Amino acid sequence: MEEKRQAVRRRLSVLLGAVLFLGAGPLLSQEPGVPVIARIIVQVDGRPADGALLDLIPIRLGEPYSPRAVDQAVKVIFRTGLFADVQVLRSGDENVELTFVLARNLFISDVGFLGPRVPSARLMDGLVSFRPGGVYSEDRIPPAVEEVRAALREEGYFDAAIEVDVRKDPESSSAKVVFRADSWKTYRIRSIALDGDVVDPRETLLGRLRVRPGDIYAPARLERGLRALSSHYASRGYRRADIRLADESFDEGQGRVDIRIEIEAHEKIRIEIRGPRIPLRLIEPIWEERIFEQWGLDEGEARILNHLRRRGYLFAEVDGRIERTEDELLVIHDVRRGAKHRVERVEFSGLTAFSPDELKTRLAVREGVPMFELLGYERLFALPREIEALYKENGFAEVQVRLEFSRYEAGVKAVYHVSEGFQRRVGSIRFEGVSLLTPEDLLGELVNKEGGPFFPPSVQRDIGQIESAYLNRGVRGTEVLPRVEADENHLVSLIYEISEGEVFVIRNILVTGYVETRSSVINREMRISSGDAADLARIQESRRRLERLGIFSEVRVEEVPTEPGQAVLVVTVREGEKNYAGVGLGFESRSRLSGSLASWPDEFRPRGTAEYIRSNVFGLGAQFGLVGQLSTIERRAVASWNQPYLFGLDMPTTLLAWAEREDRVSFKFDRRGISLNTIKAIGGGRLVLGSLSLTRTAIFDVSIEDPPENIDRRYLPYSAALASVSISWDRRDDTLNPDKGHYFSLVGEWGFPVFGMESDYQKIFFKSQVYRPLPANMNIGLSARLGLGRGLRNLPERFFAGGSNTFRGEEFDMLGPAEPATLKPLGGEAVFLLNAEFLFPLVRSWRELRMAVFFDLGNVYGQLKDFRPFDLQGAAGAGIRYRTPLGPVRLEIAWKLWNFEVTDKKGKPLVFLTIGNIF
Amino acid sequence: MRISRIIGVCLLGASILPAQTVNCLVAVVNGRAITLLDVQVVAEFGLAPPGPEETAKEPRFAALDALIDRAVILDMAREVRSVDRGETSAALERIREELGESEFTRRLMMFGLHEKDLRPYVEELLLFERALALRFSRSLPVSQTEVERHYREVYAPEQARLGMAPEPLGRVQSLLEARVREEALKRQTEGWIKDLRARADIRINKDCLK
Repeated sequence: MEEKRQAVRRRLSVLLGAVLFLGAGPLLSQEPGVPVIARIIVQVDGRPADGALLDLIPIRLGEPYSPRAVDQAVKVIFRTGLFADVQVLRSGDENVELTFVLARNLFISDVGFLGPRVPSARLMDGLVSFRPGGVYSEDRIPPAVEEVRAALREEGYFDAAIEVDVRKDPESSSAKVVFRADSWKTYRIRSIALDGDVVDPRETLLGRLRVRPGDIYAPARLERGLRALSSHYASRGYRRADIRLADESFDEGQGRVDIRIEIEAHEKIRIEIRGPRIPLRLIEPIWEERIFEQWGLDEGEARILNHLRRRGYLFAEVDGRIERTEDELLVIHDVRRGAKHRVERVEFSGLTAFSPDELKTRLAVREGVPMFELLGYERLFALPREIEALYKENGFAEVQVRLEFSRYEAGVKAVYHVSEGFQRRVGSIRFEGVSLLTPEDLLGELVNKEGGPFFPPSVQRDIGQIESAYLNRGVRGTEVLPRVEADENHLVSLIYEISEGEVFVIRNILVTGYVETRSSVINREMRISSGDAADLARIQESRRRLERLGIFSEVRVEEVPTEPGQAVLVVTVREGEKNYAGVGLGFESRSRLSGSLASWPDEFRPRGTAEYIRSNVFGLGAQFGLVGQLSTIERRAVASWNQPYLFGLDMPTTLLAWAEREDRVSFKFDRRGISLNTIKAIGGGRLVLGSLSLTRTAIFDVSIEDPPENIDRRYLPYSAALASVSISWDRRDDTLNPDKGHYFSLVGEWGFPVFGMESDYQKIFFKSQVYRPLPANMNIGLSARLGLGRGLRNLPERFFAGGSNTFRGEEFDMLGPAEPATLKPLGGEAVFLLNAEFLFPLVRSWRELRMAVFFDLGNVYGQLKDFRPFDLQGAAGAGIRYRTPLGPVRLEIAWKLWNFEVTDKKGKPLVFLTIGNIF
Repeated sequence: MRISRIIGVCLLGASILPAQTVNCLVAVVNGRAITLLDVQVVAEFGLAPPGPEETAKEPRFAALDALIDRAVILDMAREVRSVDRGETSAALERIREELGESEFTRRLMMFGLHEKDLRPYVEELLLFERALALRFSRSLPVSQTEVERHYREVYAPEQARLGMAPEPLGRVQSLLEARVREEALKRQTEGWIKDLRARADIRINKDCLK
């Protein structure tokens, strides 16, 4: 018995000790009576949270308990945007245990609609409360339902009963919201009453309204009809007609609705432009609003003058007046167009700061382009403003430019009279209140320079630069106040008064929102670490790099200040769709199209593509792809593995394995291969690409009977070990539809006879393209391609040319040497191609459609020693282009110009239909 | 054995003291958090106007309403952004005087606040008042008809209830004019705030106040 009591006592004392230790263990040394923080627990959605969240709480163990500090912690946690609710529980009197109970925000991953057949986009337009990517909140369900109900009503589905299904996925902190409309009412229109100023027969107006009795009533459709009716009234001269739905009365029992439309025609306005033919649509919009009549006349006059001047009628005159009759307002513009003048010369007067040539260069005013006008008329009249802007940027704030025309030879001379005024210069730049940076650091960042011209807007840019300099050194809250002091010598002193902010250090980085991605993939992209100054440039670069991985649909990076001088960087990512599958069907035309339309279907070859891409494989940020291409002349299957790094180096790398079969004019081949490719961007649009490949090629169906000695005539399967390096420099404005810029690439390929491989050759291929815009929306494109090889004994390695993408005077592969007996192309060890294209718009308002004239030069040389850069064949032709997002669709006709051979039918053109640029 | 178990459970219970909610999110207005402490401070230091009857018994509800109004107005009136430091100090001094030094200090201690911690609340109140003043001119025109109606329908019955004879209109004209103007201003202000609240994204967690 006694033993039992002792055992109980022992247990009790252990229990008491444990309680005391747990309750006050860390704080036994604290002053009694003052509540102190003994423990902080963070729970997220009922589970213990990641320790990084503790860094968001600016409370330390052992500190006195302060409701104020707790409040700051709540606000900091909420500011991260990650949590919908925060609650803080306290237990313990002197030794306080704080439990932060957090409820994670759910983000809306998708919004769907089930019910009547209404395009989701229309319902989505009306839905404001729930947007994909936004935060899900149950409070927003009732307004969202109302919004969907209103959108359905607009489409003719009234009083819909809507249920909302929310599929939450706590793992990814996302929710999919589906609105399901189970029942609704529809109404048929029983009658449409037109009240007020009915200017045409009712049937005519109902025809314009495009809504008739008997139709299902959809308010949105009626609204479109009312707009159409307004346009009809405008075309009848009632430009200010007010047409609205005055009443809709529903008969619930019959499911019918009576509609009443009220029309106030207001004043009839007729516009006449007397003289040359000028589109009335220039003037009509002016009179659709209630305006001052004199302003309307002046505005109309300005628009007509502008219209005529842009067409070369430089001395046109316009007078405007208004005549009123009983029921009509007549707006008249009398136009005297005068003769059309060509600008033969441009001159400047009053220049001292710039020479005329310098000014022309700076303003990109081209002279001496044959066949083109010196300046477009639009530009002619825009130049005074451009000259003024140039002068102002150079410190001439008072500059004024006047344009005058005078007769010159057969046309006119445009003279820009420039009154320069005085130039202001920056005498000195001073900083006040700088301690965290040096004035030298800041001077280097400024747009304004001592001794340079003073342009007032640059001061604002300087402020931005100074603020950025501080932000990029981790300083937040800097304010810059500029002072500009000018003296009588037009020298300006710039003084920047700087109130420096506080240096912030990144206390921790909290990454959230990823489920499958490995944290190392995210951390590798971060350019800032815990303990670093909060350098804004590095923070933004981190965000850009995460976006560039292509595996996240959203990346947010926010700094959350937790206490003075400290911030936690909260990185929120949303993983995007991982699977992508696509199929494509198209056509290709590699040989010429014959003149007869009847034979076209035989020449077009159908082509299909199917692809599957899985991104973020194993959470590594890598991408796996399978692509299959099939056409009557080629088959190809490619498996690829892309990853953003190569052995930890920032070099996107692709591992490819492929099998292909291709039919060429002289032979067919099967090839299987694997390759490892890696790319390194070296800035300024320059890329270096390295590749190692192993291939096995089998040639068959060779139609060459007696090939020359430098071609392997056994046609045995052969293996190749290849290494290639290419350098490219791309400064085109658009890769697929370029208008300006240049592209340059150089590829070197070596086939090594290693591991018993048969390959032993070297090849280089050089390509250069230049695109330039010309006046009047015209463009010129030039391309040069040169390929040189040695040891190209196997047919598939040789250079071939001819066809729509290389030389349009020959059919596919047919440029260069051919076997005399079979007339099949033999390819060569050298190829040289030059292409020039000149493009211009066919219809001014239809910019996608353009006309092209081109000139091609080129040849393929059987052996390297045969290469003669001036021994070229020529072709010329024309075509039309239609720009699409995949590149231009080209329909071209071309004629070979010289060196006609047996296969050429002299004077007979070749026609090509292709997608993509020739270059 | 049974006793030891009971004592053990009691001791364990004592070690796990009942947790008390000390702070939480009471509301979120256009993405800005209003916490329980915000509501308590505004209520305890008289920084909210007395609310309607239904909230009179629970000053914290009136405080929450006032904080939401301020949030929506200051979100809208971004041009009103700074308050003179002296002005804030003067307002703080008024609060101190109204509560008395000891009560003022006691309430500060109750929330673990220093006097400077009250400044943001006072500044927000001043900014709110300035935004309203900018929006609504104090010199609203008042028509004679409105004054006469007020005299007839409000002032005279009010005096009668107090057992006093109403003064002639001429004598109380300016007083009634001021009252009518004040009421019109109040109506306009309430209408504006109501409209802004309707358009704002407001989420209230009333459980937090219980």
